[in-house]
Amino acid sequence: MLTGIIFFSGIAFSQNQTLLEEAFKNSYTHETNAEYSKAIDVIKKVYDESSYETNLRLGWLNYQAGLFTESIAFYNKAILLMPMSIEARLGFVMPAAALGNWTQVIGRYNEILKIDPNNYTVNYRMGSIYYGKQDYQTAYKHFEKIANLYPFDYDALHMFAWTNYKMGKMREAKVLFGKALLNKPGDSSAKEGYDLIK
Amino acid sequence: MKRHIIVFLSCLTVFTAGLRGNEATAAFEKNYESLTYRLYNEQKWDSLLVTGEEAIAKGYDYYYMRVRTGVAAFELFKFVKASKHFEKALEFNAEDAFASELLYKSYLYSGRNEEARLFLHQLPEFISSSFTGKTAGPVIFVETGPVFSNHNEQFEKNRQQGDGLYSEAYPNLNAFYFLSGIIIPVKGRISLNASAALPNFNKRRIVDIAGLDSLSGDYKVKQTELYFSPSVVLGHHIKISPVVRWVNVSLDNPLSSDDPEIQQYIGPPGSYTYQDYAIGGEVSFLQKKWMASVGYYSVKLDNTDLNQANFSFFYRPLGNLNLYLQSVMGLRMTDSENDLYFSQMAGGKLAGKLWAEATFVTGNISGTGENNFQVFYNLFDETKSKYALRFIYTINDHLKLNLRGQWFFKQGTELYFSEPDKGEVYTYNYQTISLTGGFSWNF
Repeated sequence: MLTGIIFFSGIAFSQNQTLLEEAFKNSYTHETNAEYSKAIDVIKKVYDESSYETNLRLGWLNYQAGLFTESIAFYNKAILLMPMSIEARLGFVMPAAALGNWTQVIGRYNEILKIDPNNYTVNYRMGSIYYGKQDYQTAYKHFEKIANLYPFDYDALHMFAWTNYKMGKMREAKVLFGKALLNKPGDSSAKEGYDLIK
Repeated sequence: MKRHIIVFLSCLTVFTAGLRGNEATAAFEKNYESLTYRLYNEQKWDSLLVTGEEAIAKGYDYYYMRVRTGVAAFELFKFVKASKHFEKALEFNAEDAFASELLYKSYLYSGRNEEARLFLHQLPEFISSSFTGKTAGPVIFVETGPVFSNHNEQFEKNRQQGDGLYSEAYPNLNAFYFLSGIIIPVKGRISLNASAALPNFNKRRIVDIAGLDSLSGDYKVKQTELYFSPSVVLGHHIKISPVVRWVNVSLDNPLSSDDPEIQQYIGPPGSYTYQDYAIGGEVSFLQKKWMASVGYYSVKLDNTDLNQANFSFFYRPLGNLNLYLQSVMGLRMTDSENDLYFSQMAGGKLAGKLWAEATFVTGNISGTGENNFQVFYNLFDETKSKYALRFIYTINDHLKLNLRGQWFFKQGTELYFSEPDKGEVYTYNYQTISLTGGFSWNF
């Protein structure tokens, strides 16, 4: 009797796996063709509220479809299912930013930095957000971290250089602009900064 | 460099912009996003307000939707409603300069100055200075103008006739009024209203002593008034405003006589001073569309002590300053009598930058104060009623002009002795009109 249950469960699981695979495959095809509604529909047919993967996928597809509030809801469910998920949080910030909800974006970025303090993407974005707000002290902390972790990365060097420049650290800024120019010789922004410092 | 930042900050959103209008956005329920965006660009505020609120009610609640809906309400002068949307927008995107500025203005334009000040105080300097640095400083104000009175004529018409022994009266003459002051925002929750006034009153003293002499002389009553009222806001709804008003009154005895007997009647020559004051305060309960206040004051007026209690209700029915009403019920209490008085003010926007306020007061307000003693009626004569009209013209964010006309119906007095030891105070009516104008400058 027990063997029978396990056997039939195994068949059911196998069938579900096949259906899921098929649905995800079709959704990728629709997504490639920019048919986002169809991509959403095929995933919704196999939607399981407790499935991190389907919620994450629907978060992304709804975002692609311009359904930002729905996208946020799916990403939130994914985060609840996998509380340490960085990818779900990085997904969440896209529709949140599209809706202008920057407080939520910053909140999610801070959550990621608690999980992964050296996350390159988040440190770079946080640095850029605070740079845009003219909060150069906070921007400095984020850019400094990635510039130390990736000492020859153009984006890190370039933004760290501008932040130093805005904070009046001209000597450091000149060195950083120089390094950025070594990575991207002739780069207009790095050159502009370099030339500003005599 | 700026382009790099803009490109980065936009990169999360630009990607989706290209999707708008394709089959994907068709799935967006009722296309709230694109619809409100279009209405916003076309400045169709009525439709945008309805659609935006409908979208929010259905869960499409995010920064851009709140801002668009808030702007629609703002443009329709629904400032209380606008403030709710901007408050929510700032929950989605704190430190956003655009929503912050409109929220600040919504508070101001709906008459919620305390909330505006508190909000400003909470904002980072780089945001607040971008839109309010010019007007967040102190306000100075100056008001001056003539005061006309028919008191003397009415006294002459109505004075006691017959073979009386003694008559004495103090009619008011035309005068000139001057007031200046400053309102200082000290800290977020605290503000200070301090002012000084130098009103002059021209008066005449008339004394008739049967069989001896008839004397008359003009004199000035010079007043130096100092007003001091700090205000503190507790939480979001309570404001406490203690107040002290001090008045130094200086006057001359214009009459003198070589006859010692007459001099005894009319008192010694020369000048003398005395102090009037009021001390007390009010507690206000602040709401989005109304404010209720209770005040209690102890007043010294020459030789009279009195107390004043009042309740006032300020109401902005439209949630803006296009229409506002203030009702005041007050009780004037002396040792001998209690008088009730009532005041009703209606104000609003007449056109463009022009506002007007009309006020009616009935009851004796002599010795009482108005608006937490910003005005002090420290005159002896009983006031029966008052009608006032005030125009306010806003030149720009800094400068406001105002013109005020006030028409007082008062009761003059005459001390009259028909026989020795049979002195009585007789009354008659007269009117006073003051026309004052001035300006206020917000630094």
